Amino acid sequence: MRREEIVLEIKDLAVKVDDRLVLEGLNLSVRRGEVHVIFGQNGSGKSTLLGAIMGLSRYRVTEGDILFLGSSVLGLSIHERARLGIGLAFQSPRAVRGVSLRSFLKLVAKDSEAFEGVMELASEFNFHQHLDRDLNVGFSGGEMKKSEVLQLIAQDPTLLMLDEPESGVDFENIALLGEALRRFLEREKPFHQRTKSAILITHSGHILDYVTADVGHVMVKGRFACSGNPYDIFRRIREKGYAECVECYLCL
Amino acid sequence: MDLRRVGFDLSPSRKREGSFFVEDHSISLLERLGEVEVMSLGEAQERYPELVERLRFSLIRPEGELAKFKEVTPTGYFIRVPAGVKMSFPVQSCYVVKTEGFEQRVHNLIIVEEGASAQIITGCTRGSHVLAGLHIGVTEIFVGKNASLTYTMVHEWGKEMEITPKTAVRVEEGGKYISNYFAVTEVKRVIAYPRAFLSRRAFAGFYSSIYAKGLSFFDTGAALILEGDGARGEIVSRVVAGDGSKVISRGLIEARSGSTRGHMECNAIMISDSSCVQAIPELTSYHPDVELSHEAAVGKIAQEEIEYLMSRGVSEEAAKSLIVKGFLTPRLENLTPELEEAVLNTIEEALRTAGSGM
Repeated sequence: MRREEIVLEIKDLAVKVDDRLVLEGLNLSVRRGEVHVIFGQNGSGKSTLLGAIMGLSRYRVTEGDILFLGSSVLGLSIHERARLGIGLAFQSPRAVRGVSLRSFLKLVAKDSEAFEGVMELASEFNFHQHLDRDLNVGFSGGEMKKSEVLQLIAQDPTLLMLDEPESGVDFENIALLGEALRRFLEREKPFHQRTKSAILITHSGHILDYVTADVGHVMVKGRFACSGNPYDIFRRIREKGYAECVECYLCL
Repeated sequence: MDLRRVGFDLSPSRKREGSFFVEDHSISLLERLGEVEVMSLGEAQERYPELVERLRFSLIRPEGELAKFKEVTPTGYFIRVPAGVKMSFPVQSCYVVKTEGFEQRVHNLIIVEEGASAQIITGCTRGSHVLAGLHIGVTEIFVGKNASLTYTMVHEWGKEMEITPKTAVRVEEGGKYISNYFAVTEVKRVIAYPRAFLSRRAFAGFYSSIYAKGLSFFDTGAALILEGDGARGEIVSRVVAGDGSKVISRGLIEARSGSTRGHMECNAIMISDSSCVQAIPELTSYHPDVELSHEAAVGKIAQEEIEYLMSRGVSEEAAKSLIVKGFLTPRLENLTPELEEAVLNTIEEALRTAGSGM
């Protein structure tokens, strides 16, 4: 696997939600081992992008293409995309009654070694008592995020997408989640040895204290207004808000 | 015909305090293994004539199709748990309609005396080749002061069968009654509306999971009559309506005293275009100091739920199956692990054979 290998390529993507055009002319290239961060105001289309990559039915691709490992995924169902190596940690995960978290993790894990690894992680998360509870039923915000991360790590995708992984999570647990993601994404390895890629959406930026990012993008009204060093971008947003980004967008 | 599918197990590993097994109108097996009295209603009538005379038809009127029951003592069990006895294992019973077209009429009496605690499991089913028949079961249950009873019923029938059980329960002061009803089947009709009469500070919970297949017609529910102050209860129903089935899910909570609480919820998933579901909740109060509530929801399996599971690599069929199975998995209060396993296996099997229904 070459460092320059493009894992995800999005070309001129347009996506509608109901009859509203939410994404337009969106282009993105994610290489193997890269972590991309997407910033942007609520409603700008960030979750739509991740949902469209995953193939969720409410996001209709009307133009353009999404290529994963060189092939278009537009004709593939959600579970086929997942089996190819795409994973999504939902912003608002669903609760599924009657299915215990433990049994679901066992189902999702690719082998018993992966399952054992996730069980150990659950202990690190102080989450073992939740394993026998129904999947996400009655979980607090932070508990939902832990459940998402455990499921994703069990699934072991090549491209990990995280929709606001730290929202609703207290600092202590952000540290636990952040560390686990950092390890999973192999961020401590030299860059040419990293095999996992990720796209993160964040508002607070706290996750970036743990998961180092390579490329940042600002989404404005369904397009990327700019792309570049994620830390520079985030600093400017914190200082100036999104006004500058909107100006950039208007120049496009 | 594997009777374990309806919770009846005669292997040594199934720990029990008694067994009662009826095929058509004959008692094929009667076991009494502990302190709990288990006998036929006929035998109880001989041994305790006044008691049986006093209790029989004290909670249910012998009208209409039940008039026949008064003339001749039908088959049925008499189970009495003496005061203070805490059963370690359940008493299990099983009614099988073995002959095609047979009309099975049974009358059961259950008495749980003061301070006792009991578990009874009843499986009702038919011989493998039986398609038509009738089962009318009258069951009158008396839960004494501060006593408790968990009564679990598993049904599996033939598609031309008509099942009309009549159940009534009196729960004395501080007593607790829990009913679990579970049916995954195709049947011509099941009409069942158990009633519980609650004294002061008594509790009753009715929990049912029904998966109606083929052209089944179910008209089921429960009625809670909160007579004494402080009485509480809940009715929780889960329904999956497939193929061309029709399910009416009723619930009635009637408060006649203060400080009473009652809640009912009916959740139904329709997995076919030809099925029909009707939820009919009813709340009645004769007293202002009560808290009564109901919720009912009918719809298809939430698409977002299916897609959430699919995003982990689970196929659409497997996701739907997982959701329906989880939805039907009942809250099995105070149940033995063996029965819980039997019930879960029955759900698995039913979902496996549901096929294109989903």
